Amino acid sequence: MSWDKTYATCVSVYGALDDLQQLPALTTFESAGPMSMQQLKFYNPLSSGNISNAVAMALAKVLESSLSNTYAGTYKDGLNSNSATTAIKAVLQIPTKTVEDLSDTVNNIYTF
Amino acid sequence: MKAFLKRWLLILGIMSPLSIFAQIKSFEEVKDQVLNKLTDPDLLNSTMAKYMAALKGKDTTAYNYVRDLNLKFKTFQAGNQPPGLGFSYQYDNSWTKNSIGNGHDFSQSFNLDLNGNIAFKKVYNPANFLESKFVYNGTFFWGGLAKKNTKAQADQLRALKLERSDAIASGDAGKREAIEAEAAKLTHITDQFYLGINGSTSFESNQDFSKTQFVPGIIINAGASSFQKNSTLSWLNLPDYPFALLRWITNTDDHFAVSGVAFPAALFGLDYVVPTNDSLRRAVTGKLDPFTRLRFEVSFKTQAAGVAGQVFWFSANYRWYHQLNAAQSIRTAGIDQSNYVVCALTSSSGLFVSYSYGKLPFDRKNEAVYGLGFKYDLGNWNNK
Repeated sequence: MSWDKTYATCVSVYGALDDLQQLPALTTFESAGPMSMQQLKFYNPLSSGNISNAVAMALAKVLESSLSNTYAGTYKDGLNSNSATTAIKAVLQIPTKTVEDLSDTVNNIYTF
Repeated sequence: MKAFLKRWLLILGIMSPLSIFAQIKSFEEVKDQVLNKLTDPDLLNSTMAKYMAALKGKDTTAYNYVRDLNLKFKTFQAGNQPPGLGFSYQYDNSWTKNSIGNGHDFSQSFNLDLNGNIAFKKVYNPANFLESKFVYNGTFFWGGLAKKNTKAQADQLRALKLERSDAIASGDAGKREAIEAEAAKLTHITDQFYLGINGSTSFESNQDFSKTQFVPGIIINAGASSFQKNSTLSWLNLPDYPFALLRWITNTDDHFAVSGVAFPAALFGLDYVVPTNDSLRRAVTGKLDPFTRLRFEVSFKTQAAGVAGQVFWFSANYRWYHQLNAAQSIRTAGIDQSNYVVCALTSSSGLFVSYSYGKLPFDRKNEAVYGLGFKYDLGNWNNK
């Protein structure tokens, strides 16, 4: 899935990251897609693995809550909050994954 | 990879004489100039990024693995030493299970973390510390719950987000603020707190493995976030105050606003260190006995400014290690305790400056290190 404003998944990911103040101030939808995790506010490349892991987990949980509640995403067959959080965290932990990569993962979990 | 190296060598072959022969005085200078260009981190990162773009189309598995390793070429410079070329790597992977409790969530995970700095000449490595770690983590979470919307409300919110994006692009601040006020009615996230307990076992070494040790340990980590602008909790984020002022002065923020999601994250731990190879420690004590070590780490990142189309991030990390009940000889040698602080300012274009001071557990003395470079997101070449 490309990063396109016609996809509700992409707009939901953009909106949720904006609500969680993870994007730099005044980031447009178009410029958010190519941003990598290490360009978001939560990712500190200087942290040890212990801190990075905890911070990624914390953000994954609240991102999952935002996508399923605020953006009304419904889980695809066989998936739930637990599996969604795990999949989202796996993307957040990798500094070079992009917001577009994150939206691909989210698209595999939810229907908006 | 070879094709790219050949291409760069060809470009260098054509371009270098123009820039080099205008200034050279001897063959040695020519050699130095060519070597400097060939070992420039910028050139290597650029070549690596192009190699990754080519690999993406050929072998997805290899591409994903190499990309996730997060390899970065960089220059080290410590004290009066000449700059040294090297690279850093970082790999994190985890297996997670979450359970929802009454008033809190509990998350359990097993994590594999690999990270370190390697200099092609080890004497130039100011952060000569490699850590390979397997960790069990159990973390309690409180809060972080988002407002529940209907499908129609969610559709309305998505439309507002796109309108806001258009208002940002057109520079219409008034329209943007009106849309943000409307969207705020559909979004609310409670403050989030977490407290985690980790059991870990790690293998620590320097880059040539002349110093190695196994380190089982217990770590407690904690953090907090407030997602509502100007919330009570966000005003307690004291480290962000200077940056809030900077954002306000540079018109990055419309008003003085402290970030509630940029709270420092911290951990405190107790390690049982089993040295397996450490000539310095053996020379000082005559043996390699296990010892108990306290450790503390705090980490902070915030947006410093957004100017001239660039976003500038400030990141910092402080680590403290202290051996308990160290013998007098260990204390005299100064290897019972180490402090290490590193700060970096990174722009969205990839340019970064960094400064670190102190020493990590295998270092013998404190050193100030300046870093200047250009960081590529390997695999995202097409987006540059």
